[in-house]
Amino acid sequence: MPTDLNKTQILENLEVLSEWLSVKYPDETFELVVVGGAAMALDEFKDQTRDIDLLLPEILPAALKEGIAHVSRAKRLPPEWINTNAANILKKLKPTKGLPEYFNEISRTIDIGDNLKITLIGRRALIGMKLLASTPSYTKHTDDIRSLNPGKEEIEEAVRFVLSIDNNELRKEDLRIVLKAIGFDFDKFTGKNRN
Amino acid sequence: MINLPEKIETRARFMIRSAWVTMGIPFDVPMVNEKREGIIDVEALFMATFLFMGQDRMVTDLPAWIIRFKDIINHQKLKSMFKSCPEKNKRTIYKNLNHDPFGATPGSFKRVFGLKSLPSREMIQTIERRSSKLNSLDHVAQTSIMLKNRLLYGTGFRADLITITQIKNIKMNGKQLATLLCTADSTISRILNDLRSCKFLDQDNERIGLANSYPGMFISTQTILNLYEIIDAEEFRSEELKRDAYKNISFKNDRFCMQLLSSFASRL
Repeated sequence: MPTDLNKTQILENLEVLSEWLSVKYPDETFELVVVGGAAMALDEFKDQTRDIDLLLPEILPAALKEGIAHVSRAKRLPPEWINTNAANILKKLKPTKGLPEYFNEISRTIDIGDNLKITLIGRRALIGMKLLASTPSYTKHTDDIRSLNPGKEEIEEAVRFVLSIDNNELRKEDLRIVLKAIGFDFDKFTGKNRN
Repeated sequence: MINLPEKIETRARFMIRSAWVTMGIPFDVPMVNEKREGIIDVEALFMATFLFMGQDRMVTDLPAWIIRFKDIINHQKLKSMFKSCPEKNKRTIYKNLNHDPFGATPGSFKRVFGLKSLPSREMIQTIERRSSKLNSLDHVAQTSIMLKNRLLYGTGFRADLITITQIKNIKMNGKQLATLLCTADSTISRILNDLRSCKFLDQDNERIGLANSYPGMFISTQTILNLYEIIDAEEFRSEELKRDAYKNISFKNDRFCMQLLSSFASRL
């Protein structure tokens, strides 16, 4: 079973999903808001990703769930090759002031078929989500942030977003290490000197 | 619109006509012998027929049959089957039934499919003529075990469940039987309790002292589900989706699709 998908494979698998949906549910249309590694791969910031993370819909409609399962079997993909884990994490963590406005920004839209459209989340939200997922012990997300080559203001905004969700000391310590790894100083953003 | 390869569609129509010969319509094809090939669920046969109906004698003979045998049609089951049908197949069925002769069928039948048309006088005469060619109820009761049991026990799920229990080694629980008969679990559970209480069935829902057994189902709800799957499979351009769709087909309780697809073995 292949584990990583490149841009071409992501698009091919989505086309198969679109075909399945058009045969089984010919009167319905679907829109997915993609975040995470898949959004990066589609925008060519990275070569491969394991799955397609959705921000929307938060709960997959039955038709999509069914289609994802069928395409998974037909194309020998992991059952959760499209999933709402990212949406669920956000829902569970509940940012204190709700999601920042820029989570409504999009990078671009791709028409997979007449019935299926995917929207790639905007760059600022993508960096924010990646920073939220980053930990010092698991460098995948840190590497992804590095590939996005964010500017100081973008990182500052991402730090603000992460702290709006979780501002305990452990998280701050993690951010300090992660940001250092990508060439930023956490304490400069928080206006705090460690010593 | 069904878009099946012509060979599959022609074969399906032939087999459907064979099943209707068992039910008493005199088509020029051999009848399905239920003792050898399995039991025909009448309502499932209706659904299969409506999916594949062309412009042949079926269009006049079937309304004649419906008028003659209206009291032994389980309209509730037919309604459930139609209701659970995917929208696009519903449209095909509706289009296929939208022929003048079906306007002559009884209101109870027309209501299931939302048919509103009224037949011309000429059409009524044609149907009456075709009606005289149908086999008698006495004859049909000898060839169709489901209809025979409806005559014995009344047109309802009790009679149909008794019919299903005539299958040797049926090995199905209440939920599976309810799915097979396209009805609520509670309905089947209640009837199964009755039949076990009077020692008609044992604790495994098998008939006690079954003498006159049948090998399985020729056409059932499973056939209809399989036909939907085949119709969809043939619409897929992706070979992987097509293969997956054919893998979903279950031949348990469905000799019809088994025979239909055995002629096209490469699809399995």
